[in-house]
Amino acid sequence: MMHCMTHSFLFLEYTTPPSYGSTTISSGSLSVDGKLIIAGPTTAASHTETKEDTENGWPQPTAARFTLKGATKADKASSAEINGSLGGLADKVDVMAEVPGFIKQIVAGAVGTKPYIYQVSFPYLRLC
Amino acid sequence: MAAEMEPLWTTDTLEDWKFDENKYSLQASKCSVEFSEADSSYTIKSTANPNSILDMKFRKTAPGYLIGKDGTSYYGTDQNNPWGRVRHAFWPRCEAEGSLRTKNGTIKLNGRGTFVHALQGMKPHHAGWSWSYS
Repeated sequence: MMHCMTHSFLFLEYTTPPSYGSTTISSGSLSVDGKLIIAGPTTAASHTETKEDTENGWPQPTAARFTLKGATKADKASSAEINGSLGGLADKVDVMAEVPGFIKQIVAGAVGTKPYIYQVSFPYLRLC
Repeated sequence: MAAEMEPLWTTDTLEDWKFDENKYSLQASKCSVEFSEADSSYTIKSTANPNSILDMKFRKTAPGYLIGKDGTSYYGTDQNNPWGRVRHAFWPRCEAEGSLRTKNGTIKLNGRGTFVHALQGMKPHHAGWSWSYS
């Protein structure tokens, strides 16, 4: 989520595991106080640049593009986009940190479950 | 501006938890997430972890929304008998106020925020495999 004085941009996307068809569901909104400018399902996020995380093998995104395409209440086609470098990593969270190492390995191998969170923040990005 | 701090991530199991009838609010032995319709706000308090004692409030300033007819993703081959479901409701723009007490000091949490109400009615690794959340 990105906020500035007047606008807020929110984007949520998840991809289901192969057992549920590896389906990507993307949604987001652009809002101001009192009003949704765009809100609804939208096109998939794009990791325009990644680098391999040698610790866990995931492609860590280092630049990304999030696009909102929709119609305003007045039915005018509208779009908004955030595109660029994600800056440095604020934190990398091993979601299963409390699980013993060898169990994590088994679960990762058997089901592909290897959850990490790459947390970024943009203290100096100008949205408005 | 606060001085640089180590990133902080805490995750704790809640005991004696229960939802209200609509599943908008949660009470647990050391944590509460409380919806106020009158105030268009959510108040979150937690002492579940002594290193992240939270007391904060989100007040909705832009309209909230759901995606589709009920904000719910149904999983499975039969829409009338889903194997699982997840539901999201969004308050994209809120005024946030409150504080987080950590062992390194108290952090004021005043400013703009986003509140997402998510009900995950299935095992997490079946619901999603990867996320892009911005």
